[in-house]
Parts: sequence; C-alpha cells; structure tokens
Amino acid sequence: MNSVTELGIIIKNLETIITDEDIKELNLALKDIRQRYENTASVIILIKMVQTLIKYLSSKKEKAHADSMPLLQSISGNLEKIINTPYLEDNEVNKIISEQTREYKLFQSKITSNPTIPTEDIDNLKAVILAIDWEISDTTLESFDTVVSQMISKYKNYKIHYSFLKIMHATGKFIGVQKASAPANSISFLRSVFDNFHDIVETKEMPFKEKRRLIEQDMERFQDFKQDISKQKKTNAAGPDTDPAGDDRDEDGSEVMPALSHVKSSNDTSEEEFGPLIELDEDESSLEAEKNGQESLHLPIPGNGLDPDEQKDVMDDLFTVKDSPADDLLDAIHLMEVHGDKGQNQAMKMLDQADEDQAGLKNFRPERKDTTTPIPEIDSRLDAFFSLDEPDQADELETIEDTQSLDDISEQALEKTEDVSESITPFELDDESFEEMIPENDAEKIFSPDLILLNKLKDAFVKKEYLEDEAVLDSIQEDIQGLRKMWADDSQKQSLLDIISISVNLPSSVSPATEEPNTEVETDEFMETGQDLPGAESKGVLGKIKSMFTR
Amino acid sequence: MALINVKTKEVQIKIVYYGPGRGGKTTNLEYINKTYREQIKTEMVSLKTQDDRTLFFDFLPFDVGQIKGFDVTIQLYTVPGQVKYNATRRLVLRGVDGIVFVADVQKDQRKKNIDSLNQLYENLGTYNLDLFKMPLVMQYNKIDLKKNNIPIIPSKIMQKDLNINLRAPAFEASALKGGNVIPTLKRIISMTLASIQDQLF
Repeated sequence: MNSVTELGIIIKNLETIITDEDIKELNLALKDIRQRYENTASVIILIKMVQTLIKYLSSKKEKAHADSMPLLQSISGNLEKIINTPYLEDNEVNKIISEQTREYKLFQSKITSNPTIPTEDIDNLKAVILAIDWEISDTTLESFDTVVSQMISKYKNYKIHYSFLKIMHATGKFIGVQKASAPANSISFLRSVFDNFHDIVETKEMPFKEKRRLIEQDMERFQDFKQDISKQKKTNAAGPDTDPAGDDRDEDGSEVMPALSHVKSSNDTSEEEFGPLIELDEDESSLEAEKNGQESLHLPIPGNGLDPDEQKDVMDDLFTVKDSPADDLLDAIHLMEVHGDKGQNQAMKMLDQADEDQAGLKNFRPERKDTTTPIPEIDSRLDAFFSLDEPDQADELETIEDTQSLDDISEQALEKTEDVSESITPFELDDESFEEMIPENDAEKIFSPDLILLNKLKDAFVKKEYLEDEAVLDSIQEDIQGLRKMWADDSQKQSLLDIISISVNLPSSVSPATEEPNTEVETDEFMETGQDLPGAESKGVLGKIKSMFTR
Repeated sequence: MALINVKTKEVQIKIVYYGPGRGGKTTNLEYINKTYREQIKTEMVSLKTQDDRTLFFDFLPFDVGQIKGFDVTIQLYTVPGQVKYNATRRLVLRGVDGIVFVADVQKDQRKKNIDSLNQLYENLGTYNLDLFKMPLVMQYNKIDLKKNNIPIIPSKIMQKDLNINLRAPAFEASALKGGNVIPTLKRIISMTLASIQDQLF
C-alpha cells in the first residue's frame, strides 16, 4: 500500500473531530508523497491544500466548518486519481486541478466570511460610541469598555472583526485617558472605524479582499492617528500654538473655503469689513465667574453634578397638557422620529396648527438691518434685566419712587418722551391691519408724564394708604400740583383736578383760575369765619367727605 | 418669526443657539439660567431621550419686562449639534427670529464650524429664510483653552472662515466661565427687537 492510498484511508476514517494522532499520521503520509512527487506540480498543489486544511481542522477542532471534511476527502481522492491513474492526459490533470482550486477557494471564502453577529451587539456598540460622541464621561467610557471587551472575547477567532474591535478599544481607551482634552478627531476616527466594521458585518456578500482592504486601511489610519497624537504632544510641550497651518489651509493641508463662499463670495478681507469683533479679556471672564459664585457648569445630563430638580425632562410629560412651545416642538420631533421623512411634514403641520390655535397673534419676520439702531428703551431694558447689582432697575422708571420730587419725575418722563420721538417712527411700514388694532400713539402715551402721575394717583386711591399716612397725602398733593402745571391750558382738566382735591379735602391745591363759584364761596366762608378747613377738623378722609356732605 | 399678541400686548422672540456639537450652546444657556435665575423665574427645559443620552434641544423662556408697553418674552433654544440630528435642527429653527452661531475655536473644529454654518444656511432656506438677512451674532467659544496649551484658531481666522460674507457682530467667549455670554445674548435680543421696532413700537 503506497502513501497515497494510505492517506486516502486515513482521511476516509477521520472522525468529525481530528485528533493529534490523526494529524501525526497524515503529516507522515504527506511527507512521503511530497518527497516522491516533488517535481510534479499538480501533486504539490493538492498536497499544499491538504496541509492547509489539516492545519485549519486542528486549530478549529469542533468549531471547524462543516464543509472542511468533505473538501479534504475530495482533494485526497483527486490526489489518488492523479498519482494512481496511468496515462492520465495533461489536460485532464489540469481540469482536475482547476476544479479543485475553485472548490478550495470557495471554501476559503466561506470560512473567512462574517461570523453571525447579532444586531443587538452592533446596536450596543453603536450606542456606546454615540454616547462618547455626545459626552466623554466616566459612565459612557465604562459602558464603552464593557461592550467592546465582551465583543472582543466573543469574536476573537475572526481576525478581521477582532482587529476592528481592537482598534476601537484602543482609541476608546485613549479618549478615556485624555477625556475633554482628547483631540476632536479622535471621536470621528472612532466613528469611522465603527462604520467600516458595521459595513463588513452587514454586507454579507462583501469579498474577502475588500474586507482585508478595509482593515488594512484602518490599521494604517490608526498608526497615523497615533503619530499625530505624539506629534501634538511634542508641539504642546514646546508651547501654545495658536497659528493654524495657514489661513487658508486646514491642519491636514487641505484648502479651507470660508463658510457660505458657495453662496456669496467676498473679496474684501480687511478686518474692518468682517463686522465688529468683541474680544474677551480672560482675566475679566474668570473674575466674573468668581464674583457670581459660579461653579463649573456641565451638560444637563445625569451624573454631571447638577441638581436634577433644576432640569425638566419633557419626555416624561409627553402626553400631558401642553403649556409651553417646547412641548409642541417635542411632540413634533417625536412624530417625525416615528414616521421618518413623512413624519417631518406631519410635524410641520402640527406646529402650524399649534400656532393657529393661538388667537390674536400677529407674525413679524425680523430682518437684519445693520443701519438700524435699537431704540434706547430696548438696551436700557436689557441692561436693567441683566444687571446683577440691581435686579430690575427699569422697574424704577415704571413705579416711580415716592421720594422723587415731582420735577424730577416730570423731567425724567419728558426726557423719555423726547428720546422716543427722536428715534421712533411708529408703523413706518404701514401695516394697516395692525394699525387698526393698536392706537397709533399708544406707546408714546404710556410714557407720557401726565399719564404716569395719573396712574400713580390711581394707585394711591386704590390702596387707600392716604387714610392713615400723611406722607402719602402730601405725595398726592404734589402729584396734583404737578398735573396742574402740565394741564395749565386745559380748563376741563383743571376742573377735574379740583374735584379730586375736594374729595381728599385739599383746598390749598385748588387753582383759583378754574375754581367754580360755589367752591370759592365755601372757601371764603371758611376764611371769614376763621374756621379750620374740614380736613383740619378730621384727618380721616372718610370723615372729611362726610363733613363735606353734611355741612 | 416674532409673535405679537396685539390683545395682550405681548411680544415673543425666538432665539436659537446653533453650531457644531460640543461647541458650548447648552453651556451658554446654563450660564444664563444659573446666573440670572432670580430674574428668569422659569425652568430651563432640557430635552433628552429616555435613556438620558441624546439631547434634542434645550429651552429657556424668560420675560425681560415691558418695552414701550409691550411685554417682551424671550425664548432661547439650542439645537442638537450632532450631524445626524439635522431633521431635529430644522424643526427647532422653525419660527426663529434671531440666531447665535456658537463656533468652537479648537483647531480641530475648523471644518465642523464651517460645515455647520453652511448647513444652517441650507436649513433656513427650507423656511424661505435668508441667513444673510437674519439677525445673527457670531460667538467664538472656548477662547480660554489657549491657557491650557490647547491649539486654538485665532479670532482673525475665525472671522475669515465664518464671518467674511455674513459680517455679523462677533464675540470671543468662554461659555463655561461666562465670559461674553451675556453681551452675546443682549446683542442678539437687541438686534432682533430693533429689526421689528419700526413695525411694533
């Protein structure tokens, strides 16, 4: 029995799992055949195939591909046929070899094809990478490490998959060490490696060569990435570098086109033409933060140290009564995510509907006008609102302090009116419908000094503090005097002021020029009789009014 | 677009903080919310998925008081910065009145800033809005990183990259420390109100 027949018998008798004894016997037989037919190319080709298959079977054992044993038997049969068949034509030998080679390659592609990776594994991996992309925190890094380590141990027998996972793991670990200082491209690199990994997993029909090309490419990029980091470390160690590779070139040397250059191109690059740039004094900003007692701020996601009560998760309130525009917007986003592209239109319609539901609304489309100066009230209101020393200075204008003199108030109010008249042209754009709904001079009226004083008087009467407080009574008197000055030319208004004065029994404030005859007589009578005014007899206003009607 | 309720004399302005991911948009709002909590009196709404991972947008409404008899309410929004959330960004931009573009001055972020601004232009286009005509303020954030030896893009280059065509007011800023956060906000509110003052006040 020659070695070829012996090899055939050993292979035919092989069990599903190849043992070390089997391997020993097979190698002995193969060695003998190789020595005998070392000059016969066809035999050597088949022997190499058998040797590779034996190697594969011995490494995989029970995990070996089901087709591996039939293939081994087929090769062994062909080997026996070539050696033991006399007068076999060359073309027949070539035919056998080419068919066998095709079968062998087919098998090779089968064993190097994708392992079955559950969608859940891929989803988990994607989720942890996205989490790092959003926030580099201990929690996200820990999740990433857990998921990737598990996958590495699960797919360690698939070299290509394993290599992708190892690159991702190493990059993730680097990001974990560097945290916020990690170069921004480290995340994009991690994502691109994942994208390639995802491709080879999902594309079942991807040829082995393409997979190899992808992993080789990523391994090369990984080496470059490592080199870039070490270079960057050296640069940083040498001192801060604030100069990019060049004004018009990015770090990688590629040309940088300014934003919107595809829409509008400006040749004027003088600094003055960019628009005003307000620089930041670093020391001032630090001081400001300290002054305000600010702590470091973090993203509003759990585990970042912020009080969870300060943040509201609207997802929890998705189906509650809508009380803010954010609720409508969230619903729209939710709708869009559920329905995909179609959902976007539905979401828009839903938001349109939400707007329509708000009656009495009018829309204005703001348009940037570089030549328009904001009216003074806008900036003063904002200055007041954002003032940390005095929370709301502007309120002082609207609720004038009692301690201010009437003249001060009038001047202040008049100044306001002048400012307004200089800078505002109400309804310049002639929006007729809007004009109908708002009186033309409404805004000016609100800031007119007489209206301010009248409102103040109204407040005083409503609160009735003047019943108990002399100071309030004095203040009312001052206000009435102020109004008298302003309305000096209006006899009707003067009469009204007289009535108000009488009602609180303040005869001294009555204007002689506009006094009604009856009132004059009454006052004269008091003067003649030497009696005190009713107000002097009874300080309570109710008493004064009562005495007025009982006299 | 600015909503004006003529019956109740209320004006509502929507300002959107736009920019690339991790640029500091949320930090701007957090600083405003924390520093002016007493004045703002409302909650900052932070929108995230159920698994607490991805932010959809942030929302901070507040009332600045009366201007010429009109109660002025400001609504501040941020958009999600990640590339994949463009549909959400578009929705958040709906009805926008003013934009703060928060750019990241880190050297590596140069292209992301430009891409994000280009995308903002496209997104506004879907609402027939023109970025060149919108009230806009540029903010070059994280300027403080140069202290930590992290390479940053000089403001001159930022201006050239982002503002050469738009020519909007620009602020260097450090949102984390609060540097120029409020001046940026005041400027955009002022610009936005000024753009409608002729029709309103």
